[in-house]
Amino acid sequence: MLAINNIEVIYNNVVLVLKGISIDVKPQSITTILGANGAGKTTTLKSISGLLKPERGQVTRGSIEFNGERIDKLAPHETVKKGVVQVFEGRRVFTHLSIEDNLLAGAHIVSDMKTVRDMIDQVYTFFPRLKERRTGQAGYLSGGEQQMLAIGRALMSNPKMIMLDEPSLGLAPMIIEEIFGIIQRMRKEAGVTILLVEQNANLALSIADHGYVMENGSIVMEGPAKELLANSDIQEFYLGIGEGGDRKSFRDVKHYRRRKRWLG
Amino acid sequence: MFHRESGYYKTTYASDSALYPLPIARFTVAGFAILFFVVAPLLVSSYYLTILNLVGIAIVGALGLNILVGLTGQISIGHAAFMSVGAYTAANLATRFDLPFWITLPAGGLMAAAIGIIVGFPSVRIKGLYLAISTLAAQFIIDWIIVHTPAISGGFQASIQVPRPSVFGIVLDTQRELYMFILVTAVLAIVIALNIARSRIGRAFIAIRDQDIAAEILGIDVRRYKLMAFAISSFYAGVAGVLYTYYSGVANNEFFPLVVSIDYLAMVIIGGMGSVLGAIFGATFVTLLPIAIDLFMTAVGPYLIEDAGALSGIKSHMRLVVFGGLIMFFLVVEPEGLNRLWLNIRSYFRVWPFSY
Amino acid sequence: MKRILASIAVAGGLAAMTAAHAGEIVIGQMTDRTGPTANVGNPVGDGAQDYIDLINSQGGINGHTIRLVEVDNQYKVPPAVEGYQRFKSEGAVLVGLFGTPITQALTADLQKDKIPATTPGFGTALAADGNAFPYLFPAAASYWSQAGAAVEYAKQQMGGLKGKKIAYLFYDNPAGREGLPVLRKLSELEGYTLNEFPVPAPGIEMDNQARDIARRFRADFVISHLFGRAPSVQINALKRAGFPLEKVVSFVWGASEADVAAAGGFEAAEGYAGLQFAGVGDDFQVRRDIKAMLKAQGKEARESMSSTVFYNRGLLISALHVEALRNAVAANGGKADVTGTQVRDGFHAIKDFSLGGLLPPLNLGGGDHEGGGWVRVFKVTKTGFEPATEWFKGYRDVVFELIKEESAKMKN
Repeated sequence: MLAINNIEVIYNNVVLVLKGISIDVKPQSITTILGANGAGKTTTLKSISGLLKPERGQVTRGSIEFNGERIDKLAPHETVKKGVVQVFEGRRVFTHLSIEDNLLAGAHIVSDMKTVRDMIDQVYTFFPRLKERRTGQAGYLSGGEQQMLAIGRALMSNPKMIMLDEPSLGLAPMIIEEIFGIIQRMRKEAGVTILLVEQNANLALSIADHGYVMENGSIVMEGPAKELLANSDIQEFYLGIGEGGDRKSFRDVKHYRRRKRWLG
Repeated sequence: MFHRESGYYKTTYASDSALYPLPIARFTVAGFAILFFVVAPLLVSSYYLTILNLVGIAIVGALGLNILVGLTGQISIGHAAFMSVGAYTAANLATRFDLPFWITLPAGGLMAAAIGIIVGFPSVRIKGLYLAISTLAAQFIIDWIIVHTPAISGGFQASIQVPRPSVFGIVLDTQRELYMFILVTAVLAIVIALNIARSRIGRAFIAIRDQDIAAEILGIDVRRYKLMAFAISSFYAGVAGVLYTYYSGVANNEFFPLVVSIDYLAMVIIGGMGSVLGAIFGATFVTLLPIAIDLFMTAVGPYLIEDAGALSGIKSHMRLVVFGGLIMFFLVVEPEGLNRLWLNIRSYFRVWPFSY
Repeated sequence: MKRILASIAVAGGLAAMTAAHAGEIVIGQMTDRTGPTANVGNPVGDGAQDYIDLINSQGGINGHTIRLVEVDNQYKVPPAVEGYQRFKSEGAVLVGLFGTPITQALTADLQKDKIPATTPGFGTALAADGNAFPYLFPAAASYWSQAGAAVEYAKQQMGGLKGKKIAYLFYDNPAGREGLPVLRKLSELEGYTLNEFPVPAPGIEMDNQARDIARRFRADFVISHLFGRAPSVQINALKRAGFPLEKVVSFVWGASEADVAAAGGFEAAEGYAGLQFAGVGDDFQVRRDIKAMLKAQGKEARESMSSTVFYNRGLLISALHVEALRNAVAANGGKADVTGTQVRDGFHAIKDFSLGGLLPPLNLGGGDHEGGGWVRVFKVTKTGFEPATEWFKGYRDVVFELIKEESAKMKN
């Protein structure tokens, strides 16, 4: 469905951020990209949705195709019309609009009022909490509710694929679990493809079908989520589990850093 | 506007999107309509109608700036220049081609909108103070072009005498007759502004103001909507400029200096950014307050200061001090403007006398 | 909206308290005490007020007191239109305007309401034509007359104009450009070369223009028409460029005590000359009378009296108003209930009125509402302004012909 072929991204004409990345997302799958801070995960999402330009970045090599069409040269609003929508890290809801108006703003590209209403109802079935507070100002929602609103708002554009950038950021474990449950339901009930960027590797891999691991602007490992979960390096560096299954002390992890196999 | 129900009872989408959520709101609106359309022109003296005319024109202008600054979050300090564009467009059309007001009024607005789009182009790339400076430049450039193009300004005096508008053969050449003309235009402007604010376009504007990047990835063409905001805002300014021209019977660039732009910005800020009611409050407040202070000082002053000469000097300066002081007072009490103050009062009475 | 209603109620109550009394004549006077030209507006307003007080203290006009309703228009049109309506509601039969845009905005209304207005130093030059503008009385030299007079003065100073080079240094706004038609026309007639040097707003940087005038164009004479801070900037810029100030004459808004002070004082600006339509200085009977009146009331002389250029213009405005009212009251059988039209005729009846030398000998009858376009040149000396000429007019025939031509164009 989404095929990223060997792209390079350069900021300010100087800084090479992505060094030849290829990612393949299958229809109706949940694909996750893991990686530490600064690995280039968000840049990857931005290059898909067309948001590099305001930050003076550009795709200098390679291509991004969505259902066979090139989308790497499109403006963000055109990308949305193709059916790809991104949910930002840190939520960014329109704080002064009511919850329902936030959702309506998300449906900007849909002109048929009936479809819009059906979609609002669908979003409310995913997120019943939003329905309870539909006329309240979005700025007064809790963090978790804002994240739900951001996801719901993205759903309103009737996308084929949603890209979620760290939906777990700064949320309580219970809320995170709830949101991840809903993400799975969205795939099942609305048939949306999901590209998930996460630092919480354990959680992400537990719901994903396929995973990629990024470091320093390159993909260093990929595979089905189950295999990655079982991989000893992933376990050590991302899940913090030692080879014996015990928790490692921080000191040992540092020690092992030098032994990352893929760097060798 | 003045009344609210005690809870939330809507069950259909139609009732939810109604402009008047309660039957009683209809009565309030009807009441205001009778007051302004029937009672005021019959009972109010021509002097106070003049003031109402000024308020009406200011409301049209402030509504326009509110769409740009309040709804879309783009700062402009060149609003007066667009008024000037509207004024000269209408003046030229009215004097050269004898066109009636129902052509010159929208034509002035459209011309201002066209110029507004050009001036709005920098907003695609820059925001905030940087944009403010570029609109400031527009203010001076437009002014310069008008004054230095005799074909627009009508000669070295840069002023064009404009015949007053006529409706069904009646020339509206007193303030009393102009009142209806300005009132109808202002009401239309309010209705359109209300509808813009709660439509798809209005939501896109607010989305751009709150989170422009988030708006962009929801499929809102930020560039197009920013330019649209400039166009709509300038259209309103242009119409206000035309009203001004008919109000004073002459188009002149000295009517629209930078200070006027600042005045309009003050109206939007004091009224409460992003709300139609706020723009109306702000325009009314900024227009009426100096006049009210002046009248008050004229009436009370002689009892305080005997020397008439000294009084007129003190009076004028006191007006500025009191005006500035009151603006600061209101903004400190409620930084979100008069509209928020009004909403607070209303919600207090909604549950009165049982708080909580 | 409740706010509007409340304000209306309050304001309505106030207006009722100040309605006109019998035996009282109301003059509406606009000033600009707080706007961009407040440095002019305050002394002018004080002068106008003091003269009315003086007349009232001497028993008014035929026993009727004059009430001056002053509105500060801030040099903005909306407050001026509002102020004009306030004058009307207070029963004013005569209005003093302040500001060119304001004059233009109110011209049509004045004509319709048949209320005469004075516009000394403001408004279009065309208003001199009493047939075209029956209710406007500039009553002082318009910019066109000033341009004519400035050329006349240059001619006297240089002993002829043929082959000379004159620089016109002007503020680049409509008022500043207004002198151009006359200067251009006279350059054809008199055979001097005219070069135009516009100064863009806000006019606080003029070194380039001054250098061009002094070195490149090598002007023989400079006629300048500037406002606000620009005149003082001009004095210093011309000095820096090495151009002698003796060869400069300014229009009426560029030579006041404030301008000289801003340029560094009388010593620094020595030689600089300016046209005036009212006398400059303290040596006039009417000023002595006002001081005596203030003293009798136990008050100090106002600070603004020391700004003689503008204060005296305020006196001129009110003096003309009082003369016109006097004539109108006389024509009305001594009663106070004069109409605007009677006051207009009162203006027409003003003949050789000079207020003890403070004004030129004004005649406002015979269709010339400018009263002849008189000016007098005052020169800066080490100690103050000294008259450099008597009252004179320049090229009146040429100017009036231009006025006739332009009014004819307007009618078409």
